[in-house]
Amino acid sequence: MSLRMFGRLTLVALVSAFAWCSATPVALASQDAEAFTQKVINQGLAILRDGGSSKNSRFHDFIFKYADASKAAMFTLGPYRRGANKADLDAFVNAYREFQFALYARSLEKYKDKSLKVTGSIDNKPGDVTVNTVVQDPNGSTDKGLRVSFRMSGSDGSYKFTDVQIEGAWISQSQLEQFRSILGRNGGNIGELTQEIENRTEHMND
Amino acid sequence: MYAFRKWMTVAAAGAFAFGIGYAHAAENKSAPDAPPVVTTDQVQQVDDNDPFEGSNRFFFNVNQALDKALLRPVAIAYHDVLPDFARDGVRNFLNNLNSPVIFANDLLQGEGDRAGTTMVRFGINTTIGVAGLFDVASDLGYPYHDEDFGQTLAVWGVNDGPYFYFLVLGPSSARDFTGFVVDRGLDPLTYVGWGDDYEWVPITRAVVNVIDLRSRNIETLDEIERTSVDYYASIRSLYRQSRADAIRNGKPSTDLPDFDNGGGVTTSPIN
Repeated sequence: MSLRMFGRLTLVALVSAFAWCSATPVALASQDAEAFTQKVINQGLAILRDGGSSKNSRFHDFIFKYADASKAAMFTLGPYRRGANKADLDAFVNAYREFQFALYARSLEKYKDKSLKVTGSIDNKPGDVTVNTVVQDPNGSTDKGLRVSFRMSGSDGSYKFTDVQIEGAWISQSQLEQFRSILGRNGGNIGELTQEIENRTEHMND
Repeated sequence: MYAFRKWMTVAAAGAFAFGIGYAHAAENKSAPDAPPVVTTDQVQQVDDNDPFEGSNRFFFNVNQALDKALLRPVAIAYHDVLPDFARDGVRNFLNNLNSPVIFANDLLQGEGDRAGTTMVRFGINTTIGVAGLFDVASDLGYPYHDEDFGQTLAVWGVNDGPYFYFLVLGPSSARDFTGFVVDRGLDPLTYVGWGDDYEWVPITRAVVNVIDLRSRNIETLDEIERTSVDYYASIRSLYRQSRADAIRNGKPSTDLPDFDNGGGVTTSPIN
């Protein structure tokens, strides 16, 4: 092998290694997020399956630990969050957090005897990943399984869920439209919206 | 004119079925490239596209009353009386009848593979599947997928236009309603009975379709209503997202809002 040929091969190897190193963190981020999602969802379903008197409080802690309700809440307010005072926003976020808990508890309760199988993921941007799953029957079949996706923020094994998509429909986008509609009618009164959310949460928990 | 009226009756019943069945799953596909992230304001531009909200909400309330008084009880009875395999047979039969419309739209969208799948499905299910009662084709690796002319228009680049909520018909848009009327024209069964004694065929098909779809969404719609602070806005959003998902053939969305930008607020303050 001539020196020139050796030099060229070395250059190609270095460029390839650089490209591999650059690409690897993104690929690993998705795999990391996928593994995290599978682990956390299994934990949540296990809590629901276990039952017991502390089930509700354990699931409450579980949701609060892994869901970034604050980020989602701010998003669902849209432009109305600007100019709002901190007390109104804090009250809204707290109400929204309980609303989310009631929503997830109801939704996941129906699937506690099934499982979710991770089917892939997408890096939306650094620190923002969507993990796709499909609901699996107890016999392992996913033939007519519901498609559920989780949007998460974070990295390196530490993530928070920011949104859930069921059969192509994101929950936050639906809530954004609902809240905007209410705020549009009441002149942007976040306090009234908070009250409506609290009433709805109570209704869901009945 | 009589024929046109009859066609529109069938069209209306079919659209209502479509409206309540918006949550129907689209065929899942593998993930494409990472989607770009957009802002809340871009998301909300869609929300603004409801210029007839007043009348839409009125018809929504009327339909809700009709549903509670008539359709939902009938759908519950249908669900309770017929065993699962019988209802699956009805759904398979109705899906098979719609194959010509799906096939035509597959072709119009340039989806040769999917058109082939639809054609093979129709052949297998009509023969081995006993006139479409059994979905043998899915077991043989030819899964069901849906297409309509509203989706075809979207693939051709036509925007959805303003949102409409029609009396009896349910949620729609200018594009989807146009597509719906064209689909009825593409459907061979629409013409069965025109001018003879078989006019009950397309009408019965439409009515059974409505009842069957409603029976499959009893729990889902109850749950959406129970968890919504504004049921009308919730249905509008879910309808739009569901249609967008169907147009993408189940591929991940390409217009995710930017949560890290506080929702990406960029316009002037409202207060």
